[in-house]
Amino acid sequence: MNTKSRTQQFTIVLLLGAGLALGSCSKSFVDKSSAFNLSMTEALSTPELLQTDLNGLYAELRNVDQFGRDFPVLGDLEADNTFLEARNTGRYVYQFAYTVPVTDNVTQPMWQESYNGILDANQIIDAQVTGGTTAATKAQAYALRALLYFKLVNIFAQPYTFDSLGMGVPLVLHYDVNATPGRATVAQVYRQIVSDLRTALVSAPDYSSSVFISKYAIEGLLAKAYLYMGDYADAATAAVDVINNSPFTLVSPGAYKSFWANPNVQTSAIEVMFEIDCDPVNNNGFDDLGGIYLNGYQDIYCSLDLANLYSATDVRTEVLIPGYTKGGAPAYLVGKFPNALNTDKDNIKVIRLAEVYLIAAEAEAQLGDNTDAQNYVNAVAETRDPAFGGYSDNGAQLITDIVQERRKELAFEGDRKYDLNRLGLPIDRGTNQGAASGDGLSIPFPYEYRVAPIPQQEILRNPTIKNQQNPGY
Amino acid sequence: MRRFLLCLCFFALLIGQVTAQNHSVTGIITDGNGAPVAGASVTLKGSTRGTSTSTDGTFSLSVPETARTLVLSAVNFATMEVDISGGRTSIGTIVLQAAGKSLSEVVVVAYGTQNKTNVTGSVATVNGNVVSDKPFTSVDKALQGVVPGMQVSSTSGQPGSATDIVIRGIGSINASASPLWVIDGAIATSGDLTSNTTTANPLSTLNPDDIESISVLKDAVSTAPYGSRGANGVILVTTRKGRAGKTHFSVVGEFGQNSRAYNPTNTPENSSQLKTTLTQALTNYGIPANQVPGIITNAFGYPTNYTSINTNWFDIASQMGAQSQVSASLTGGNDKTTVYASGGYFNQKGISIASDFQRFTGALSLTHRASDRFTLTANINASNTAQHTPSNGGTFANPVLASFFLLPWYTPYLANGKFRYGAADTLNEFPLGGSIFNPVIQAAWNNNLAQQTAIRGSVMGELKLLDNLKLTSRLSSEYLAVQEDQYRNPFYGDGYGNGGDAFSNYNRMFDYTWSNFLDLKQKVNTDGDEYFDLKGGIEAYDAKFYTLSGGGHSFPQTLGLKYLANTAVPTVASAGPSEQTTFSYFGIGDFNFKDRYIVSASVRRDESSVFGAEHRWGTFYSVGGSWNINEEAFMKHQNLFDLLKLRISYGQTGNTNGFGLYTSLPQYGSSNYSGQAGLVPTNVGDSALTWEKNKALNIGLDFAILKDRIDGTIEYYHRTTADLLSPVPFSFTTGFSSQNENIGSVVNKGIEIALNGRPVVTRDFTWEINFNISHNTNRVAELYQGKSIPNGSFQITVGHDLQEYYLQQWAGVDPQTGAAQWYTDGTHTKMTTNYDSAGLALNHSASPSVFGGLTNTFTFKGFVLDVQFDYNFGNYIFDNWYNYLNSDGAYAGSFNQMNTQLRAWQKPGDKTDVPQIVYGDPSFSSSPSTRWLYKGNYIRLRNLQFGYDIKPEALKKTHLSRLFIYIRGTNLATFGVDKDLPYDPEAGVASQANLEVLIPKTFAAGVKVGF
Repeated sequence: MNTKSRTQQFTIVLLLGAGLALGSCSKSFVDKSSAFNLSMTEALSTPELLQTDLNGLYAELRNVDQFGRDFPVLGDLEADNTFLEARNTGRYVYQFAYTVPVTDNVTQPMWQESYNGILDANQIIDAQVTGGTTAATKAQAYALRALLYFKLVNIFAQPYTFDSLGMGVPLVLHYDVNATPGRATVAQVYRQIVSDLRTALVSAPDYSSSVFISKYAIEGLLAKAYLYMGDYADAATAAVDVINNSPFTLVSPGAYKSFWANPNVQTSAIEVMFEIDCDPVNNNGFDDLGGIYLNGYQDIYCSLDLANLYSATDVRTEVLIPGYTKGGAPAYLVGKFPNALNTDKDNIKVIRLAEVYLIAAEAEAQLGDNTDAQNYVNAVAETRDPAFGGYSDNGAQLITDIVQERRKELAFEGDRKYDLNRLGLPIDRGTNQGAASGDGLSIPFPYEYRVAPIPQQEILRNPTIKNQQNPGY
Repeated sequence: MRRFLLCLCFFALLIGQVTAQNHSVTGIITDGNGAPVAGASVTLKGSTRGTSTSTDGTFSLSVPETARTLVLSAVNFATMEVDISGGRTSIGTIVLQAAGKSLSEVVVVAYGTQNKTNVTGSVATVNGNVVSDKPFTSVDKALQGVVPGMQVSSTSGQPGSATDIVIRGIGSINASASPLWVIDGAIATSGDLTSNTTTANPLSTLNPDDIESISVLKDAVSTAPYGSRGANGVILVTTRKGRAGKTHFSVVGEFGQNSRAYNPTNTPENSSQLKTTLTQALTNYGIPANQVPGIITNAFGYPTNYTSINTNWFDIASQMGAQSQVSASLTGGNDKTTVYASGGYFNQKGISIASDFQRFTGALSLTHRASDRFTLTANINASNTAQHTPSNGGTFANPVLASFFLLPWYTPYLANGKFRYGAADTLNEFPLGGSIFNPVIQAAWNNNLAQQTAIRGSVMGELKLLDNLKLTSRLSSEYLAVQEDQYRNPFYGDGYGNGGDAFSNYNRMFDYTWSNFLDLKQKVNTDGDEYFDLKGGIEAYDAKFYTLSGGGHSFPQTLGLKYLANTAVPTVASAGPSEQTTFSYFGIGDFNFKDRYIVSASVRRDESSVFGAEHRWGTFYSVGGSWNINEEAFMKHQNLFDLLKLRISYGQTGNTNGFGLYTSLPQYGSSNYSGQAGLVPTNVGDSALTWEKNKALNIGLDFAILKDRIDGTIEYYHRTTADLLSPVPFSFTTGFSSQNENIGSVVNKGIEIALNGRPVVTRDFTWEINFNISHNTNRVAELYQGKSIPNGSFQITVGHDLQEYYLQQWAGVDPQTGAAQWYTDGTHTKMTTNYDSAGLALNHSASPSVFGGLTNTFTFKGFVLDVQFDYNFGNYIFDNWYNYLNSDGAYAGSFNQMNTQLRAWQKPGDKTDVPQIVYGDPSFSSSPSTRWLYKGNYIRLRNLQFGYDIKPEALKKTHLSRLFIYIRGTNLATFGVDKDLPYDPEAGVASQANLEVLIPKTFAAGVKVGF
């Protein structure tokens, strides 16, 4: 064999050797992990990371399909506080007209995103972590899970006070990606809500700022849950405890407008007990709550019926802005969320002290304690309208007064429809110029379409729920 | 003596010179039509000496006196040998036989070239001429209707947009079903890399004029060498290389204009038509007729004279798009070193306002034969593109949406000529910050710019270790940077609420493919007509991505500052890397027995970073055989067949494309709150995640008859893709909607026919026809627990086409009541007028049942007429925007309606497909149903070119070797379109209309000059 072919053989051996060497180091060559995401195990491994996960849960609630817009908007629009104008951008048309199809593109994301939040909460609650801030973190997760179930059961099920054994929503308490749960009863869902809120209260943090849920905000939500169950004694106990023992105070008449105009995180314990932060960086942009009412789509206006309820001296008229619909009809614009065009957007109020007063008033009135009921409702009514002499009715008329005061106080915050549902009252819309189809409707109670359909996509994915669609859909 | 010795040495040297003396051989190579064949290879048989023809088909090669035979070969032509013994200095004009007529043609395949004789798989070759100097922004758009079995469809007419390509049916549900692109051996990025802007195609950075040839590999035996990436077919692009000989320059310039390719008859209503629709809606709602005008003016806020104002928003949102392209190239060199260099400029305006594309390219290729044993080839190809792209779909800033949705009495300008918006707009047509924006302001004041910089380069060394053993080492890399800048002005539109905002995004990708392989050609018998060709090697692929994005708002109150640098409030800041790697071993072998029987096989093992540690390795293989029947003794006595070849192949390939890089891992991702970091679950994870496996059978028959007047290929294929990456849908109550797992399989089978005929071949006149047709059937064979998977408007169901619609079944309008009706189920027996009782059923596919193309080429003396059609039949297009534009009253007064609404039911007995229009559409007649489907059929005149080659005699006085002038039209006419379809019938592979920039029709004139 000559030298030349020896050299060639050597070259071949060398190259094959290099190839094998490359092959053997291939393990590290093909071992890659994400620079943007953390493994699930690690994300649930320390008290600090659990707190970070809790922030993720708060952020989830801010979603447009939840508290960010759909929840607060629909509670009024599907009742009688607001109307959709004729020249609109195509949002909430079916909701206003009471013709929601099972394929509706508002209903499905509300359902889906709420359960995404419930997953976030379940993961925190079930995390095998102790010490440090863990107890306070888990307490908040319990409270927010209860809050989501409270919204879900009110949107998708008939009220507890109407049929507590009727179909509620699926109760999912642990992460199981393969589960196909059926609907629990309304009573089972409320039992879980009460249990979660009570568990939360044990280790709940004290109030430090408005954008994180704290002890008395949780107790306020507990009072609300009891009220919605018609358990007036427990509702009164919880609400009165908040009124008597919490650091919160009602906003003064002079500061009312600036209170609503302020987009900042609050630490003063004035009025708002828990709100969801929409900060300059993390917010819903043009899909913000203020965008649908005032600056942006401007599709939804205050109904004439509601506007006429306020007396001229009521400070709450300061957040009703006289103007015109896009169609040119005179209408009141909703001014509670005026920061849609500003960098820092409006935070979304979830529970305020005024509501706790109104819960106490309604519960006491239902229990027959007219004096206490009058005191609580007048605390709100007279603060808002210093010229108002206060309610002096008793019994059924007092309850009607309180429900009306509740309507005036909590307008545009998403409760009206569910209040009318739980009280078994019809929805009687007045007429509004320039309104879309659905204006002037009278909707009786009970009525099948006063609850949303289970989304068609859930029905297709979940065999257990397949035959549990709400009647009428 | 010393002097004598010196003299002797000198003399000896002289003799040496004399005995080794060379002379030049010249000639012209043309095709059957007499057109010059550029780039044909001319080599001296038995040596490495060679050159190639220039653009005018001429060559000059220096050969030794002893030279006997020249070998002439070119892609798509039969190889030919010419005798030059006896010191011939010219071979005159040699006509090469066109493709398909012979098996000695050379085709580019995986890791090299192959004589067509040895091809056992399904490989379609497209000559560079087919894609060069067309008014298309990227090579993929020029392939429409050209390759049998390859469906090419534009989703958008935006210049520089991505194109959908599917070869032999959709073989994937959730991973990519697109083929792999390989440019000069490098795995190339394709698809859409944009983050902020609407669409940008990485392939648009490649100048089609720099492409020498394209090979489309369709079956297992041709794609298996690409292993885990070969399942959906492979498109090999070979760029132009230098040719030895006289240096030739070529310049091509083309200038033209674009307009809308398809003008639908179903258009938005004009003002008086809108009045008709609106009046019907309100009257049928119960408003007394005498109150209707008052409601329209008071409640809807229309001006009283609105029917006298008519704005054609189509015209307002469109522009006549100018287009120009120039490219110049040089080729030359000697028998040691050759060079190809080119530069190009391309500019096209889209037909929507604020839509354009511009590209600069440069390419350089050098080949150096350092010795008889070692050759080095280096290529570099660099380009920069810039495109403005309006937003698409349902965004208020989309000019196409505006052209359909805006009311006809709206006007873009005030009486004083200024833009209509805000406070000066007393009719509230374009309020600040809300509703559909005035498109002319968006176009004038905003900026949506995407720029791509691409550099593709490769260095390849080929070392002949033995005469029959070659070592190749090739390092190919691709650098791609996509830079997006979006600006929304502070005065009006999306940016108004934020005081103007800007978002910038920078995506950079660098990848390399390093292949080292040995190629052994081993004769088995002494005649050399029985031989092996074996290749084996290793390959590493590493793709590194980096993304950087920023956003902010609050600009100074000016239109003069448009970049993130001037925002007062930063809102988005994000950056980070990601990476994907693959390591492979491969072996490929052919055995040729006297050109009669060929057997080929390949095996490849791939290891990919995308999968869980236990599932990273995959093995892929293929076997194939072909029988050249016409080489058999019994065929020697027949005259009908000039070629008859039967091919069969089978193998397994994989798909890892489109899996996401970290899908196998359960993960949490960022979701921040109140200035604090937040994390939420983002991915379920699947540790068993692995490849999609594609098992494919191919049977093909190639033939040529009647003295090569007709040739063609008929192929049948059957491919089963298993372990499909498919979404397993979860109940939403779990907190996840779905995750991708390896579940299920889909079968594609079909037939492809390509026929080429030359009905007339005379000295002056030739007529050539190329026709192809493909039919594919797609069936889902298996899914997780047999459960159907909802997928947008489709539902993936066993036994059905992957893209079959699952919708409420529209049953038309009751002629007595005018009510909308639906069937209660798929049997179409019972009807209901209650939308909630309407049954959903599977029918109508978004995939075409047949598609293909037809090209006729006529040449008469110097004139060339090229007429190319492509066609598509059997698919249905789903219109996402139907319920807004044909709302039956739901959006009456808010958005303009299509003129199809004028067919609405009026009185008992009316037979129509549009129900009674009622304000608010209480019957949901416009809700999703099969009423939204349109037939997707079309035949399109894709390219019409008429040109004249100035006779060489006429050019003698000039220094030009060629002068060709032509006019061209693309997408000139479209036939057979559903008359109710308001958009272009080309709607991507998924047939979904999404208010994209309309597809252009181009008229152009051009000139090609060679010197």
